Amino acid sequence: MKHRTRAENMVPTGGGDGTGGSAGEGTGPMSGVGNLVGTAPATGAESRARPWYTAAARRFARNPTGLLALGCLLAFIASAVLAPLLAPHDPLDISGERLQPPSREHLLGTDELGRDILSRILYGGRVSLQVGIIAVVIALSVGGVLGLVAAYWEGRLDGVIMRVMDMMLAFPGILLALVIIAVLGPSLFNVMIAIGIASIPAYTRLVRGSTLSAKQNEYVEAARALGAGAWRIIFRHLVPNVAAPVIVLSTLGVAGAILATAGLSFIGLGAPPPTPEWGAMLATARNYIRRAWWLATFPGLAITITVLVINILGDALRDALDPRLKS
Amino acid sequence: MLRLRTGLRGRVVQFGLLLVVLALVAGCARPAPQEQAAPTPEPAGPKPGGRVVIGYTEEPNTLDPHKTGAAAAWFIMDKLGGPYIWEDPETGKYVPGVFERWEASADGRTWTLKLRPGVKFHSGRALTAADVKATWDRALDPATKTVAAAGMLGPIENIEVVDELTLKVTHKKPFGPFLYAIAQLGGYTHTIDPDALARHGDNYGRNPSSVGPWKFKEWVTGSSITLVKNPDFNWTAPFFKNQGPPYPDELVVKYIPEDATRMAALEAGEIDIVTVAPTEIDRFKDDPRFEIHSYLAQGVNLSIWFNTTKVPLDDVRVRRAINHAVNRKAIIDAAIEGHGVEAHGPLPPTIWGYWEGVKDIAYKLDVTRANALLDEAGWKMGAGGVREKDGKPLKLTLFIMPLDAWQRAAQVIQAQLKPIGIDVEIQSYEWGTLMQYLSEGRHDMNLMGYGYGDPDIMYLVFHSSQIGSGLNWVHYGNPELDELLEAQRHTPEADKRAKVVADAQKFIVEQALWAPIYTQQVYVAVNKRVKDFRVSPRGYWLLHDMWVDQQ
Amino acid sequence: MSQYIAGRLLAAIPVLLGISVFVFFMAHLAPGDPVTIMLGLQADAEQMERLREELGLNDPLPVQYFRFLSGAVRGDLGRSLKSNRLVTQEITDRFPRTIQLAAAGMGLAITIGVIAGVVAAAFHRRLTDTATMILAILGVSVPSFWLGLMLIYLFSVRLRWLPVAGADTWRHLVLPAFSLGVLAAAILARMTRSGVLEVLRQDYVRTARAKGLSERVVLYRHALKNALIPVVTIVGLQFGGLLGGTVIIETLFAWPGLGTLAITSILARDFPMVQGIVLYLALGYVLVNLAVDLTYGYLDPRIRYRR
Repeated sequence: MKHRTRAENMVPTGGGDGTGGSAGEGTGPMSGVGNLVGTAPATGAESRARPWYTAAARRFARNPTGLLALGCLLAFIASAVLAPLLAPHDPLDISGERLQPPSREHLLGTDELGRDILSRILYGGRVSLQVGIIAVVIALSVGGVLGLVAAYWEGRLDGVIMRVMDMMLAFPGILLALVIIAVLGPSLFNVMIAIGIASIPAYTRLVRGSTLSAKQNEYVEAARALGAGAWRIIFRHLVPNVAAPVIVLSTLGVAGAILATAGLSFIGLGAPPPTPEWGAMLATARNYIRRAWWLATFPGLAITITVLVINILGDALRDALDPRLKS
Repeated sequence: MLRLRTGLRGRVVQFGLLLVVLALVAGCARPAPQEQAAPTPEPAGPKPGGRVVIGYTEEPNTLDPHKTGAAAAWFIMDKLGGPYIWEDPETGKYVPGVFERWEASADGRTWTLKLRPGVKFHSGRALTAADVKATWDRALDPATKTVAAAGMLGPIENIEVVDELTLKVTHKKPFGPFLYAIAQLGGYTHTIDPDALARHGDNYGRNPSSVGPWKFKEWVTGSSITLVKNPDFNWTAPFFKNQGPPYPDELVVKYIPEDATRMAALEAGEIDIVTVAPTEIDRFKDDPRFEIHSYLAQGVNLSIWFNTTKVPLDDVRVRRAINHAVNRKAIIDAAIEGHGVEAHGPLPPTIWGYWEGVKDIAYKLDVTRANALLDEAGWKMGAGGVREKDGKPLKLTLFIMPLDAWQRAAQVIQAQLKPIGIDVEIQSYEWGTLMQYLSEGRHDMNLMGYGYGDPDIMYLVFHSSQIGSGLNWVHYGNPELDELLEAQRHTPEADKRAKVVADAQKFIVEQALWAPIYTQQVYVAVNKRVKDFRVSPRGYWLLHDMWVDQQ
Repeated sequence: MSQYIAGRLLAAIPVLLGISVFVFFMAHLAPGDPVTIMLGLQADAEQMERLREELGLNDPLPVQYFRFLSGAVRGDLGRSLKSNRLVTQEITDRFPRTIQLAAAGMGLAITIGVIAGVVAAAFHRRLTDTATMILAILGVSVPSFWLGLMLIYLFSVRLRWLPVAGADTWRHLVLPAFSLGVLAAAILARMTRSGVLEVLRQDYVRTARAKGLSERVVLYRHALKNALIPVVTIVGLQFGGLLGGTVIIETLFAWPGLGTLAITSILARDFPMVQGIVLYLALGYVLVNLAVDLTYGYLDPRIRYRR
């Protein structure tokens, strides 16, 4: 075996050296999400013959659980997008009576200021999904590029990047987010940035690992011999190989970011009022749990079910993208 | 990995329901039947022994009285040191404590303080006037870097030990709040045992020792502080029935930062005494296991502070318009469940010096008037319901801290100002950031509240010397007001001082430097196994008659 | 072996150094002045300035950083701005509590997670499998503070089985450890299950079966040990997340560890304390991962340690 100095390299990984197969697990910002171990990128040969996603899509289509989860998620997204049409009330309107239990007028009751909870949950879906997606986009774009660069140019640059990632990993994610928010101030956007930054190392390690293994394929050598430029090789030949595990990690990352936002709201550093964000709604409701159960229950269910659906979808995607696990 | 062929949705729903049920179980929790057992026969009378656990939000930073300004530290130090003089809860007059007599000289500058003979430190040594002088000298020594105590004692020129039990304190100018500093604020100014200080040095703050009814036993970092009764204590205030040492063996203060957890600990019987948030109080009022004590807070717990240097709030008409537009009743309902009274001036009725005339010049809820004032100030209603002037929309920031009640209040205020064409943006910062931003004047408006026992609070908030480094976050400097605020500080005669204090209140209300919102009713829940706990009308916890019914 | 350990520890130094630089400058970038926060109400400008000077807060940041560093090398992390206690002392008081909580959480997670994973794999595609995995996926989907609150109301207020808050006895540890460990347990259950399933498909397991060994022996002797290798990795990685998770759980349960201290210190701009906490947590993370790597050698003799 080659020099091994880091944790991830100690894992015996059946195939190529340092596939970093374990990278995704538990390195989310504040919570580990989902299960990625054993995820291997589709082989290069396959990706040349026919796009990797065709087979994956076919496999996915045969998985009813995954389809159901996807359907649910699309429905959530649709309801969030269409919130202005669907919501029975203005989510910020405080003219209603306070702390009303669910009724025909307010299907999920009203909150501590008399706002319609159903409307807030519908609008909150926009906020929460947006937080999740943007945080992941930040983490993925920074982390992914760093991972590609580290793996492609190996050597000193790789060393520096991975040392920085080690630092970030050794820095508990929520503390990192806390410090970032203390510097930038609590706003929804800064929450997304904080969570995004805290999740970068997971993506870097995953992308680097997958790229390293993809690089060993002969066609990459061939492309290089033919004089293809670095970025051409990266985007033409490496990115497609990395895509599968990244899709899975990103999916789960959205779920993790939604939970992380809720955690930050609990400490008082989440989305400021009156933003109808699920985590903030849940955190606010904790002082009313005994008086008005509907205040905590519905945002809590919204978070749990959404995260659940996204996690199930992530699992299904992994199954579809990784035929090896299919028994 | 997860493979469900059928019925996924059904199962998800089932588990969802499980969580709802959990929430319901918790939500419907009422005192279990065994708690409502037949009333026990009325106990005969106070018995010594047992321990009382008090729930508190945050841990003190230190118990060195000169190194802290934290209320949490005061709470412990007050029990360790005992006030020098007590305020009688009935009459509001001061009565003897460590000091038997206290007299001001004719010019009001010099206080002659006479110690009660026979007061002993926890170590057993007798307390002398020299010990008090040593403590106060330490507080006043710049090298000590005293946090709060020095400011409370006032501009002291000289402390003189006349004899074993007599002390003379001379101020540079007459200092009105001095008695307050050695009475209610005695926790900060109490006498330190010099031997303990010498022995522990930098660690004194973790090993404090003084003369009070309770002795320090143990501080478990992050968790609790335990005090044990001082068996030799015999100099409590005359208004207590118990004139000997405290009844319970131990007094434990347990630190629980999260509100919901603290309330759960009260219900589970893990803590005996705790302040209950207004959102929770109705539940405990109906609960036979607890006795509820209540008092009106000393302070205006919520007001909108205007940054008077910035357009448009430099215009008194705009400040008045906002004062007319806020519906205080609605804010009190939403923020503190109606458990408070409307505030219209800088002082609440509970603080000495409150001016009754505030009621007559108060800004009543009057949206028409508010609109008229804004029109007059040149802010015309624009498209989208937001007023404009010279093409600039009337958009104001409202800085708050992430406190539950403030968040609720801020959202209501935001909604109430919308109809008069003001677009409010709430910005939430934690304490450190907020203080800096307010000092720099980055805000248009902010929410703030205070608790203080003396009208001198107006000096701290409105005097021009307090801009930048102090609490003058309204950034208001006016020579006329400055003069009033200085005069009240150095006027020892009560009736004269009251007049000046009234003038200051009138000025502040007329200039609408704040939109005062409410003073809060504070509730303390006590487990009924703890008997004879009392709270003074000023919110001071009277613990000396307290005993534990141990059955 | 000892050479390997020494090498790993050496490699941790730049990581810790980097973290300290980062925290130092981030903390000082944050708006908010520790002196204002400390002195609060009564202070005048002159007094604040004096204290600021005294604490060295007026020096240029690099100067302050090197002062911190030269102290840290000698084991002196300075004094807390807030309590004036030695940072090392405050942390020594609290770090064992956090370790205790994190270890208990991880212990619970491993116990529950591995058992659930093996059971699910053993009953592959049957109801038990499905139910376990639904629970597992639910475990990663619930906000931890909400779960914790529900547990408090159910087990402490309603049933009176366990105490609400504090850290006096082992009973105080149960609810926070569970709330903290649920996430890791859920992940471990899924990991173990897929690990065992995968191993069961391997040739040597087929051979073992062919030899006529009972299904139980196959499962425990052959499958489990191999399936545990990725599980151990997860334990290492999760431990970092767990240490972070203590921030929320400790606040909720009034557990006197580093997590609660971390929040209050960040909010009070208690720079030396924040530095100290982050360094200790990072060191804890590095050590746990080293321990994890050493465990591989035990589980899989093919791995050799070399620098």
